[in-house]
Amino acid sequence: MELGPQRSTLEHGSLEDLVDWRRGAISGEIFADPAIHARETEQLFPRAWLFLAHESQLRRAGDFVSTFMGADAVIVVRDGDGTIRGMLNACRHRGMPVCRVDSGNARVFTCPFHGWSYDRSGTLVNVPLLDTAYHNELDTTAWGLIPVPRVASYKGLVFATFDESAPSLLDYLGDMAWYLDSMLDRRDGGTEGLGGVHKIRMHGNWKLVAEQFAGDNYHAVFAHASAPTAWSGDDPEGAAPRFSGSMSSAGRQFAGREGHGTAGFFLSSKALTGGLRAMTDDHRLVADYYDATNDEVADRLGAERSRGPSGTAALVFPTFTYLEESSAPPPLGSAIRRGPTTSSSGVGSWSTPPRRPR
Amino acid sequence: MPGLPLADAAVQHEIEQFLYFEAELLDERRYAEWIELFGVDARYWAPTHANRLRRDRGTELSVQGEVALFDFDRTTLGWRVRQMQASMHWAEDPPSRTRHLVSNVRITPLEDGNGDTGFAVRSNFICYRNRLADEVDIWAGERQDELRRGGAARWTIGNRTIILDQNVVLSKNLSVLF
Repeated sequence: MELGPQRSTLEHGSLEDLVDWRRGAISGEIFADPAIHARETEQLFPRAWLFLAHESQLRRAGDFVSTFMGADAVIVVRDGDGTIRGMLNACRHRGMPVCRVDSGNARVFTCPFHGWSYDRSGTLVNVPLLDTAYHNELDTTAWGLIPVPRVASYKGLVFATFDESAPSLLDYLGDMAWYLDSMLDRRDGGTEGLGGVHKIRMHGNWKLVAEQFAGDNYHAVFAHASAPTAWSGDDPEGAAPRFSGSMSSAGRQFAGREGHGTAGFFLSSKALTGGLRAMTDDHRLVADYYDATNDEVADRLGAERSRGPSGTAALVFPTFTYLEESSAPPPLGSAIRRGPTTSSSGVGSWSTPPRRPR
Repeated sequence: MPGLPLADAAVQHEIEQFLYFEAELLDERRYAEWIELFGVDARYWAPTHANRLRRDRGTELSVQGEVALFDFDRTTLGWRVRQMQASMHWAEDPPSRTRHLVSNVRITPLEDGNGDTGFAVRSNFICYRNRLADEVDIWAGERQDELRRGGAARWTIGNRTIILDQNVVLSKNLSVLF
């Protein structure tokens, strides 16, 4: 397909021409065409359920995190009655962000421009000089932060959508929930997010990430070949790639109608924890943990999902991804958190081990 | 000036020379020699650096056990070096060009040190990296080292904490060592 620099693929035909799912082939244009990105901005990100936070980041009233839904900055906060709310991080007066930190605990969010303040539910509670500047004629009840209409959790993960008519989160997750449970529902108490978020900027279209996590386990043995070389006893300068034993074991690949996908391997517990035991004392502790909890998890989730991290990569469409990886416990979740442009995205990563007793 | 700690000039000189030597090993990719500067119990740790409200500023850095940019003990730092040396480490093939600049070296005796045998050393760094055709990264930050006398290069690094002055990591990767 010949394209001039000013012309969009969409002018030539439909999106269907760019994706040949029968052959498993896609056009590179889907990663580069600004018109496709514009359509995603208009039709996809405002409608999809997007990951916001882990509930453990929002334990107490007033706990908040700031993040993004597509291009829109949002605040996620637990209000006084325990509800987790999402609201646009933009003052209703002149649009300035009212929250410029990553997380914390607050009673009010105050705009640094003219001092308008909003409480935990987004209600406008203070307008400086309301009498002299507005002659008390401003209806403050009409100028609260714009709420994100729907916020819902699935086993600790908080998602939201701008689409009031979107299906429920559970329907949206569909069969993907079954796979998510092997990370989120292994034991009573679920998971918690460790403190700290590893934030990077991804130089590339967001769909490269989505496609990657939805099912490209093929790359690992080559792209990441230096990792097993590092922890093996091989001569690093001369070592050939060590093809992981997992690559020759039975695996699974799932692609849901909603766009979700995951791929991984069915490994025996012994194969998994045996690999960990060959590494360090810290890894041996993790192996002990998996061995000690395996029966409990098997009773809860069944044999297929009890086996611990197994080289699984997964995508909850469009932008939440996670890894269950035996060499890098505990499970790591990532999400595109800052509005994708055609060619870059902000990405945050969290670590979500089973919740510790407290 | 009262309160300004003044390290012994000879110790200051020795430690600065050690840090310059270490920077040279990194910039010349002499990783096998570099790893030997670390003690057997060494930790090499770089916390994440969050934006917090001023009143919460004590919580900007993640703590031990939380998410980190680097979190190595001596064994896994050795893995990192082996990875840098591996024949198929694509992030560093072709290798980055780096210049580690070390300055503002502040030295205080370790409380458990005997006289002049162990020091807490804080230094500022800028690491310039030029990679592939035209990629440039500049990292600035602070290193907090525990140095003890001994070892092939006169000093051994016990613990190293790296405070990177970035919230979002702005480089494509962190395939360098600080």
